[in-house]
Amino acid sequence: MKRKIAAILVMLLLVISIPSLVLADDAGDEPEEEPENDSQAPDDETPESGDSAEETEESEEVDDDATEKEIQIMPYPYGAEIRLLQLQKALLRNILKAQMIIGVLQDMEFNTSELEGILVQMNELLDEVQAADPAANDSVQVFVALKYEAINLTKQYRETLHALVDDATLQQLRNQIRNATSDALRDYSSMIRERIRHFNRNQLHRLYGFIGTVNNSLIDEYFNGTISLGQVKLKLSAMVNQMTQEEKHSFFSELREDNIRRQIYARATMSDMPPRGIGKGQGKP
Amino acid sequence: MNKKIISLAALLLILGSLVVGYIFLNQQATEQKQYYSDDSVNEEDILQELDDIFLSEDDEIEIGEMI
Repeated sequence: MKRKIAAILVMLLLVISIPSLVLADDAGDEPEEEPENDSQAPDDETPESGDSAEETEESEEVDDDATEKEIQIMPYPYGAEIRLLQLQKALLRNILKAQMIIGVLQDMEFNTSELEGILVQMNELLDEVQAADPAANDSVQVFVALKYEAINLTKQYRETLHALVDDATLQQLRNQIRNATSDALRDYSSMIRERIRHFNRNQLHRLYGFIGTVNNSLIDEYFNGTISLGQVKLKLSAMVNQMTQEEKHSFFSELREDNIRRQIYARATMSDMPPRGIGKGQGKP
Repeated sequence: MNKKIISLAALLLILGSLVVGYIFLNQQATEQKQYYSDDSVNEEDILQELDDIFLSEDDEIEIGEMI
């Protein structure tokens, strides 16, 4: 009889302890870490074979990724204007460098007619970008087409130049054009900086909408240049950290949702664009 | 004697159920806490999202180099 009791006791203890162990084991399980996936690196890296088609494809992917990120802000006030001004500035910088290069090569008695032809096209493209309307419904599509045209002309110029001169001359040219600048470029920089400040101020207002309060003094301090954007972000972060878990989650979710919505918009817009290389951009024969 | 065994077994079953039930509920509460603490928003997460919503004042577009 005692043995029976003992046996029952042992069985029941086992029955009780096994689920406890199982539950404890589940609680101790850590999620498997996914291997880091470097999205920038190509999946199958070929050895350095100098395959220009692959290099072109890779650089086009980089351009597409960068462009997709750039167009995210364009639906917002000042967004389209900022991007078009940045494109103008980038084009102007390259045009200045192209002019300097041609000047140096002419002094060295090189035949620069092909380079000059490309330079003419770049100037025409700059006119087109300056004429683009940031408020137009198709401003995003126009921006993307013009940007890709600018990239193509820059690449064309570069390849023509490489075919014309040797490496030593190229290095000499690099040193000479390194700090190419002008008053026009400086003007562009201040215009762009001013519009970015407006843009960021609007974004701050939107953020405070997510939080449910407003701090006009912080917004004004940033807009006046009293504090930097980095300091604004730290103050916002500190403010959010003082919220309750629930408020913090709510704010963070809204913020993430907003960012994801912009990414989806940009991805959809890019996928609707015609493939690169077709046509020569807006209005070009 | 049989009654004693049965009572003992029943008592142990009840105790066992209470223990299992307590562990289960405790684990749920821990998972809830983990949900908040694993998904808890830390300063890095916030700064990362803020980086996406704002534009840096020295932001530029790249169209390639001339050389």
